[in-house]
Amino acid sequence: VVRLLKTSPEKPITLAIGDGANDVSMIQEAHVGIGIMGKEGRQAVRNSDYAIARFKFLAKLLLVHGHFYYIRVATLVQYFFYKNVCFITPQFLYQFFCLFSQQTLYDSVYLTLYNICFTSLPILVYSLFEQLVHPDILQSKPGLYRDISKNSLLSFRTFLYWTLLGFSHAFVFFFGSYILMGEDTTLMGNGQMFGNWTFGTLVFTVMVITVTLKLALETQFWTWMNHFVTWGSIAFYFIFSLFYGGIIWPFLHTQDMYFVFVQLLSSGSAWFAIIIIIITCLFPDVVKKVFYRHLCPTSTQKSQSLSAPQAQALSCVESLCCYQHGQSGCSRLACLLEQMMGQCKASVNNCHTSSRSNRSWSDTEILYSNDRSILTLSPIEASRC
Amino acid sequence: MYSISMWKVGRGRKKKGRGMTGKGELLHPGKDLSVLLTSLFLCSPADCAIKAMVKHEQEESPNRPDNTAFTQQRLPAWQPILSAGIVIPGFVLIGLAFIGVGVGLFITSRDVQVLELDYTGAVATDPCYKCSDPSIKDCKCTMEFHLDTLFRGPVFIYYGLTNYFQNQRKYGISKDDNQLYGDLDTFKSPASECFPYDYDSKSKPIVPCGALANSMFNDTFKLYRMVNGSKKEVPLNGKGIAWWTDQNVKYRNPSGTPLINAFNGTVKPINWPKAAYELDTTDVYNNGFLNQDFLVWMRRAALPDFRKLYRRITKDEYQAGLPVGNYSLEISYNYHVLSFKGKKKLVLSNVSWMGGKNDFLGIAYLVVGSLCVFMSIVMLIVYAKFKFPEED
Repeated sequence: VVRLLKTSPEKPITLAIGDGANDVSMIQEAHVGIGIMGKEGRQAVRNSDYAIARFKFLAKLLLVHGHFYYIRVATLVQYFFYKNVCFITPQFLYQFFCLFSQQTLYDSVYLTLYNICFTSLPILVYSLFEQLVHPDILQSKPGLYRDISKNSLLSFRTFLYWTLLGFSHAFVFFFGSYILMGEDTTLMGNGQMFGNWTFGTLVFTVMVITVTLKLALETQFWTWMNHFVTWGSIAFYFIFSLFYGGIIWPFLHTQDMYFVFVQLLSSGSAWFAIIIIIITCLFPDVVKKVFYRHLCPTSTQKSQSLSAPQAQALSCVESLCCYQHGQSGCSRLACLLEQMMGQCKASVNNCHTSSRSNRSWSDTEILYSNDRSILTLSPIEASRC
Repeated sequence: MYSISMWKVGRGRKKKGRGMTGKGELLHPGKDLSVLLTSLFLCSPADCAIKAMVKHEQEESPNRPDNTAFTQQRLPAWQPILSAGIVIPGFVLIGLAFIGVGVGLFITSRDVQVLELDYTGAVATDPCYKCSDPSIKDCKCTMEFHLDTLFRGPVFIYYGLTNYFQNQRKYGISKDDNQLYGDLDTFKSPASECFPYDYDSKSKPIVPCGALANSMFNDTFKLYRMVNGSKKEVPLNGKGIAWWTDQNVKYRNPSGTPLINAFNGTVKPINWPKAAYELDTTDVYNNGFLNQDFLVWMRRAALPDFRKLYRRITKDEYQAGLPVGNYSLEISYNYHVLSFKGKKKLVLSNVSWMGGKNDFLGIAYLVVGSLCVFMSIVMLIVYAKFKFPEED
């Protein structure tokens, strides 16, 4: 049956879930196979892509973890292409001005460390922690899953947007610096001239800062780690450049980069150029984001402003008073006892209000009625606290 | 006692049907009893009952994942939303700031004075046409110019070349940094990148080796001011034209006094009129590899049309600048560029804190600032007209 479904014209992505040995062939045939650790043994689990303990966990797996994972991975892939387009295109453009002699624009150490040190950590932390909306909202509004259906974040249109953005940014980096230095006047207050490595370092500096700030624009869940790696990456670039250009390296064949970075930073014109180029690159992106958010928002964006009542419901639910684990008479009793003693912070009224506001969106309440574990809590259930 | 055990058994049976794995499913009556007894004595009845239930459930499945904010992705986070309410005032502020900065930069750049003199000698009417023939050696030509206003000091003199690709890769790496650092071993065997400018036809090592050093610019200039019909030379200052770190750290002369001794067994580059140790015999800090004209040339230009600093006019009565009058520039024309359609020029300029005459920054700031203000007005109009739809 799964094979038949896969041949239908829309070419759907299929998911099969089962818990017994008879389900193994179905799980293997589907694109995503999920096995349930059940009383029928571990056969299904061993052959599946994901294994869960209860059937009810499927909802959270799909709607919350699946949604987050897809957004993170799609953005990771698009961002990687974008930042490497930004990286290589100025080098390509420089060839038009150096007789196509393969003269690199940046020093070889910068070439090596760009993808490893200067731009790797921010996207790593993004792809581990990014959450567009609160998990509770995702679970209570399954309709939000439609925003990412049909592989929309990795479609050709999105890819084209990111790649063209990379090219346009690279053009701005290169030609902004080119016009600045191409007037062949001095940029320093003492009348001395810059060389080709200073030119390349200017382009590189603008580029590292812009791609990091572009990711900062995309990030919507700023934990302390996001702050640390984003601002830390930029700071690390500056510190490393000062260190690398501040020493005559005994084992290096050439000392081309000696003091280049400091000379660049000592020029007021260069600082103004860095600021204007960065703002010019990010300005259209900000405008586009604001217009899209307000004129044609996706359902996910609409629900982002609903986080406040959900958060209240969550604190009600997560406090020790409301539940512990499993569905045992013991925990229900504990909950009842605490309510009677007034220790439960969440009053029944509070939970009811939030669930009322959800009712217009939630069309699958029944699915979560027995859901009480830490990872799989729904605010509907909180009302029963 | 009996009632308690019955109650616990009941709970256990319920659990068996689910097929849950992990330890803790079996009953440990002794353990549960002790927990109950201790809690009876250390807390109030209701609290104790809750604690007992909680503890029992916790002991049952130690395979549960960590329940920390980090592992369960519940870290506290700032969740900004880029909405019109933040962006519109932000754009207005940035736009106004940029327009202010742009005006300042533009005015500063406008105040810089520049005078360019092209002396390539490409056409017959040029004063230096007679020198443009490569077969003529030691040619001198003169160019006259007039200043209408005071050319404010300190005045910087640059020589400029066009269509000259110092950024070509093979040309640019053709040098030996170790030689230029004074390493005498490399005097005997220059680096292979210098080929074919590493050994001369008699297999003697060239110092400094490489195409970059070999093609050093060797035109010289003298500036004269016409005072009462006679020529008065304007003193030119050759110090402070190269980067301080180039002259004091990166390049070192080989050890040996006099300097000529260190260059035993080597020859000068093919195109040079004098050897490195004769570049400036009057000043030991400007001789050899520390010669500032040499250092200025060795810093490769980024683009094909470039300028390099030649001299500064800072001395005596010219500290305030070049006064109004007629001037005459005497050029020793040694460097031939017409073969590759290049041009040579001399540029007089004064500098501001942001450098030479560069209108680009001022104009760029004005344009971006105006765009910011314009976009914020557009967004405001759209916001007011369509009243961005609220959540339904």
